[in-house]
Amino acid sequence: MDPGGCLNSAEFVRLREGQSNENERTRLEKHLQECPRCSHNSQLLEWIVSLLAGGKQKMGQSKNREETALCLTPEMTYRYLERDINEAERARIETHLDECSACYETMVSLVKNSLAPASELEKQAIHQLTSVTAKSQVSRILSYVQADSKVQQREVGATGLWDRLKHFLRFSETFTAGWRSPALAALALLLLSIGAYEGIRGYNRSWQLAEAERLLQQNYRVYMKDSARLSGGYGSSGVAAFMSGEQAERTPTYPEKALDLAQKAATNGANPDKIRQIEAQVYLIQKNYAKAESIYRQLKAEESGSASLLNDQGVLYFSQRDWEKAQNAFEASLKADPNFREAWYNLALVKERKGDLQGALGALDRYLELETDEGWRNAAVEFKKRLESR
Amino acid sequence: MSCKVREVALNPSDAMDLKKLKNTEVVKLCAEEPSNEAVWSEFCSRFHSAIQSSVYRECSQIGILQRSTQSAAVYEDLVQEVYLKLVGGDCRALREFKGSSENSIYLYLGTIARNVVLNHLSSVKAKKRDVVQVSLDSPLEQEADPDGPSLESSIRSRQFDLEEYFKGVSLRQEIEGILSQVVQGKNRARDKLIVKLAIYEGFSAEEIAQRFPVDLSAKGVANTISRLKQLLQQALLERMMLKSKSLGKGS
Repeated sequence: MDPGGCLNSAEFVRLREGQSNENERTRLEKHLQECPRCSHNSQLLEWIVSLLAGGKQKMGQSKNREETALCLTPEMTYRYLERDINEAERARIETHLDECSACYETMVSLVKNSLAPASELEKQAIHQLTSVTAKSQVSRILSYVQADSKVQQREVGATGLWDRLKHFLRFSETFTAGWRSPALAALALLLLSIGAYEGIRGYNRSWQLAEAERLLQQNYRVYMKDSARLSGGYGSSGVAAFMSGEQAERTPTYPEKALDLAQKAATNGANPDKIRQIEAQVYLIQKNYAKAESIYRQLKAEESGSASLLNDQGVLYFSQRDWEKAQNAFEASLKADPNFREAWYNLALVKERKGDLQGALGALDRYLELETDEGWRNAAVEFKKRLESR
Repeated sequence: MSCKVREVALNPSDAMDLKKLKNTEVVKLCAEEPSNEAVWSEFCSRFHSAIQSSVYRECSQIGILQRSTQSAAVYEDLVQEVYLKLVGGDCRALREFKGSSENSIYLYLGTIARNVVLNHLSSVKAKKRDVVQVSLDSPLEQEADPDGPSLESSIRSRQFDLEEYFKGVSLRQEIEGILSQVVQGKNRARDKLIVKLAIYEGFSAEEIAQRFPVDLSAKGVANTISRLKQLLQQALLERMMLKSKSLGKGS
């Protein structure tokens, strides 16, 4: 307190916080009522308290906002918050956070953005931006995993061969000049061996894949009135009589054989997309729609832009009697390749199911323009006659 | 690595078991069995909305969505980019995750979301750098102050005669100057951080003790905040009283 009895800043704060003793409080309060200057200062303190409670938006900018070499990366900030650093690093980071408002704010916003649950307003905004739910996200993730797996396989394969060569070359460098010729001869021999090995492996995988496809395409028999056409060279000899009442599929064993061959081809490094597509066709033939669906999801068929994949996915929906989805898939297939005849045929089938006879006839006409196989053409002509007779 | 696709039937008992797992265990399972649909279902049910809101907030802070004419597409791409980062390189990001608590994964996902959004911003800036167009007819609009109104305007609105005192100085600079003087000791930087988190951000003592590596209990944090707040009030009042006095003498 100054000689005139006015309060100093510490006394103002103590009084406001209720930390003064009884006598002091009575005396100070009495003085405050009598002294206009102290009364004004008391108002100043209230104002300071309200400013300090107002948050940084009301406090203006801090000085240091420029990025420096010492600024924290998001990873370092994360490690600091996770206590994944030693004492010295922690002290350095805290000193930097004290000096650099940009890093301080970055850290705070990371905590706020990550840990605070979304408000109702945020939820609404997010809902307007995306329709992807947690459930539908899963299939996307599986397709990313699948794609990444392919990349990893390619990288491992490339690294393996490179490492073999690198190892050999490093070995030859350590030898004296006299050893160079034998080393080069050995290298040539090794390359020949690798070439032969890869050639045999390549032949094996292409043979296995081709054999798997042949087995399916020659043996799969369908009632045309009930089944949509899978992509590929399924022979017209596999098509059962149009209105035949007899069961086309009888305990087939060829799908298992085809599946076995496809899996062997996979171990020999055949194109995983192609293998998965064959597997899906096997599952469709076996009427295991859940597994087929899972594969199309993983292959991201809808976004693949592949006419054959989209057509086969349409066949899946057709088999599940989901006409709407089937039509969308066949149309998407035709968008990817307007001359994809299987999809035209299937589009005719699905339009017929939906009662759109004119649409079905239009699709069949387009199909007949494209189809060259006599058996399939005859089947389509029969189908067309049936539609026209309605 | 080869990521063999394993078909996992999601039967109710599996789902129940997964529900019982800790967050860190779910993440570990995703890294170990990246093709397991049931595990990813559990991951998404727990963290998908957290990823969405982290990306949304990062975008909002930077203003990406407001600037883009295709906000929804940009936003969705960024969310998917976070997932691609998680599963890329044989789920490297997930394998490297070491969570110290149940909340760690949210911070981890938030960090990935921030990186994804910042990378996007950099690429957008790089594309725009060559085609900056400035209208010659209309002057440049002044950028809005991201930190809100200046202290001067606050003072003016409150009719205190202290404009001169705060001229060119924000309250925040004033606070930081005072804290540098009054906070001393071995834990100086930590204590300043605590009081800033409380005053600027409005975090409670419990939140600070829980979310930041301050190595103090909630009570310890509360004591630090209270002590430093009082010192701040006192120093600010002292400075204002002096200024007020000198202004009074001047007039």
